[in-house]
Amino acid sequence: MTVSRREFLRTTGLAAGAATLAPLLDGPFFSIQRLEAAPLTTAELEALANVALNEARKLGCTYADIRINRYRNQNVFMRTSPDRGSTKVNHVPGVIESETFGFGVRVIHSGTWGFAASPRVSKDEIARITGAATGIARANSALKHKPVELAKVPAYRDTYTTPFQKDPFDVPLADKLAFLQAVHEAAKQVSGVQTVQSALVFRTEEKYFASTDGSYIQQRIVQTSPSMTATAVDFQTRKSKSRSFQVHPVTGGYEHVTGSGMLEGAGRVGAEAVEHLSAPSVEPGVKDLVLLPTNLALTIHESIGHSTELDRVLGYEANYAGTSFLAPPEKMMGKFQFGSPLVNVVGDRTLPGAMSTVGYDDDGVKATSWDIIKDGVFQAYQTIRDQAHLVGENASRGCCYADSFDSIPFQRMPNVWLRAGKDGVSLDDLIAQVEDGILIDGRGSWSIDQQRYNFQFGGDAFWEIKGGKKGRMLADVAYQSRTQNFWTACAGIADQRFWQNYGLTNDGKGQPSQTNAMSHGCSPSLFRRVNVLRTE
Amino acid sequence: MPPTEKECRGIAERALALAPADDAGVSLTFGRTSNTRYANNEITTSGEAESVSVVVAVTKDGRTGRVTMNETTDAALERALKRAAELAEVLPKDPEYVGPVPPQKYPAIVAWDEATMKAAASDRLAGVRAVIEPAAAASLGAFGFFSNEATVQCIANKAGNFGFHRFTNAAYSATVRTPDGAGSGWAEDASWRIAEVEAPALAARAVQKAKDSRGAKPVEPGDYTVILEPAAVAGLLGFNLAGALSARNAEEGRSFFSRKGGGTLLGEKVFHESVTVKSDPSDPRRPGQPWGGGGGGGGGGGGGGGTGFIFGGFATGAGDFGMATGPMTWIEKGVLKQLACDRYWAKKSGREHTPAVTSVVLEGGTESMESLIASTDRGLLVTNFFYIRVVNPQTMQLTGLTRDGVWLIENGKISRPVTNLRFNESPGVLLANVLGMTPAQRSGNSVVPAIKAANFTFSSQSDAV
Repeated sequence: MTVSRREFLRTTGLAAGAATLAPLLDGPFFSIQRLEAAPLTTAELEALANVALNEARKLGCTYADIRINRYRNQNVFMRTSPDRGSTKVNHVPGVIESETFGFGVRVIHSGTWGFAASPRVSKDEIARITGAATGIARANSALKHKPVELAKVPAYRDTYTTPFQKDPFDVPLADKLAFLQAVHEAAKQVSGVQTVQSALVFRTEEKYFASTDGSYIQQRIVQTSPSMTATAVDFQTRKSKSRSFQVHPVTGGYEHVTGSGMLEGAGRVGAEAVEHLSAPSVEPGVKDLVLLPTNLALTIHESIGHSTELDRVLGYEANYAGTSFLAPPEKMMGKFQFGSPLVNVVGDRTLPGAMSTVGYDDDGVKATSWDIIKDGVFQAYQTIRDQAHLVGENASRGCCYADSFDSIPFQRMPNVWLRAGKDGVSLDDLIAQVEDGILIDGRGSWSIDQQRYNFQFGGDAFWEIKGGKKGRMLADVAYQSRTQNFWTACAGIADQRFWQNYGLTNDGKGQPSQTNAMSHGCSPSLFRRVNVLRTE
Repeated sequence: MPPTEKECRGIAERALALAPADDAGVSLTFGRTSNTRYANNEITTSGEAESVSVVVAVTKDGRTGRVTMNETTDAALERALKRAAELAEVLPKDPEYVGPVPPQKYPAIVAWDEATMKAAASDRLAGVRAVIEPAAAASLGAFGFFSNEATVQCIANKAGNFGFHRFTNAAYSATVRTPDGAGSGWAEDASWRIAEVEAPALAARAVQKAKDSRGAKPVEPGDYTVILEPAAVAGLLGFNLAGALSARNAEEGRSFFSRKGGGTLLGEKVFHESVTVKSDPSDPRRPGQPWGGGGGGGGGGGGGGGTGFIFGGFATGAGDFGMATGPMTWIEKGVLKQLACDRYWAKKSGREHTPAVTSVVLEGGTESMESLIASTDRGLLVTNFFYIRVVNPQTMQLTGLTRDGVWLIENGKISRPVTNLRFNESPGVLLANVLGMTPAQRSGNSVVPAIKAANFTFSSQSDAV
């Protein structure tokens, strides 16, 4: 993990680029086919896994699991910017292909967890690393108060593959670059667009999981994430404004790139970047907001997704990502009025196409879904096997994930999505209810406190709403609120026709920090009387 | 056990010999990391891992293909190089390609400690106890993360450049909270020598802050004189100062240092005259990287882990990965003296290449925390910031929240704890409004002082503790 990109960004401190590149590129990168890490047969994987499980039993561990994983990424980029001192435009291409392969062993010995990992996948190394993990558990058990307790799980022998039509790793690179170049040329047709950046990011996780509970599970998760941003610059005012095409990253194949509408929308995105440059700054004040799914997804993520993580509630993240206001559990579950009765939120690892959708989690728990918020009232937290008993539950919600073979699995956010409103409510119906407000599309700057009370979100594009009608574009908008006040102010949610499953690819949590991807589907929603700032 | 320079050279030479082009490079990174994490005075997770990263790059006629993997066998190297060559054939020509990095003379950086490389869970237990036990004795909860890591890096190319660097790092941070959740304190320590990480001192600071922050009451948001502890300063400066120092970003109108109407603010006073910003990879307080470049508008930072190669062809200045770093003064007595200029931008604009911004040091002053507080009629003392995000890249305006201890200062004394606040402010404004500084010290991965500054803007209150 020392060499991973996320670690690099963390350890270089004042690295430029960290801030600008991180949202686009965070996470590990992989993908060359059939190196020494050639695909192993299921029988070979099982034989390797059994080395760890048998060694752990021999050493007196009460539980062990091994993950033998291969990660492949292909990131295809294009940057179009003006040549210095001429009228020429340069299309600068880039491709990253990478792959990592290795295994991690987790054990419980003396009631305490231990973990170790290695990129050298051999029987001897697996035995050695299992011993190392056991040694860590033994050493740390000196400070144990209570032994680790795992919720029961059935033994599974199963496979799971993300459904897709076209494997992105089978599509020729030249086709991908040609697609991006066409997108850039369409955006550059717009006078005033200075730079265009785009990326196609593909990731495959090939995961083999085996545990002393008797499970042997093989999975292949495929993620596809296209994106593009156009930037316009006014040198006289020293202002620059960007506009992005809002694509939903998915678990799925290349069909999502060609079907994304990015090529068809590039000209509009360019034009809106230029329009954004001359748009007037917002007048700050209390206003009604109509948030499109591209914007609301991140607000759901930060205010509901994170506050309902049980590890935060228990304090496990107190030294890093923070805790949660949604505590203590016994006073919150089934009792806390999180928002208006319109608000119904689901935790889900089964939703088709969503970024956190899998067959099984990294505890070997079968994917499931449940109500996080029902009719505005908080119901149940996100949990993993060693947490369920802490909230009086006897089964995990299946939220365990590690972002690499050499990362420790822990509780991560599943897909957390907002149910659509009742039939017959359109986006226009929501706008029509607003006298003085703002329509917000896309993701801008965002920040929330460590207990998930106070937040501030920007956006990618803003339009004034006056007298129930969408008007001119605005600039420099951010909204600040408090989680419970905000969700209580939810006064309308558009129906299922408007529901979109927008995903995130770079959620950070844990020490050492790990990344995670998930989706936050929702319909456009209306929020009354939210504090709007001018960020100029 | 991480490989030696000789072993790394052997792998690099094998790779270059197998490269199917005259222009090829390789970047190797080997790591070992070991860590312990705890919450509620009990260890939650703990692990160790070894890692390998090999990046190969093959350039044909300005077209560079790059492949990353975690194996070093001949067969793996050969396949990766072949794939990189295939990618180079398919890619369009990179119009900004400036050729391979010529042989470099790298600065000597002392940052390797065997004990830090080897430390295991059992070696960290004393440090864990040093925080948990005093916290528990005071009926407080301790939450912390103690890690040590070792990294060996090697770069080589067919143009004759070769570099080898290895470094260790140990870092410890801990949060101490009151059981009712009404008080929270935080402290950190880090060094490339694990023996220098002082857990008892860290524990004492975090415990004291947790106790002293109890009973916090809000203050109205607005503009305040602030005293920001080094961690808070490092958080603000870590965000986009280095990116703003990119000559290209500045000349393209996208930087804080862009001049309205075109051009840059080079040679002009941009900050308070007490502000001097340098970078020096050999600074013993926070040893940096001997090579940089490779991303993010010429800032690049340390370029660790072959990342520059990885971002090659996308980020501006990416072709500079491997260029030697060195001591640089970016801002001297408040005047912008230098902008970071990558090789492509230097060639286009007829200038010299400038080493990347690495290991930024904000030189401090001579005040103490006590004297900064004593000279303050009314202000806020801030321990740290959380969830900092860029709101406006041009003005460098950031937003974020205070965390783990804020106190009101009245008439030269700390009068009471206050609840957390959200700020909306630019480090540019902070550095223009400096009223005093302590000497600089390492905080996280920066070397910065505590700063007292006027008119720092807080925009709202937060209930979080």
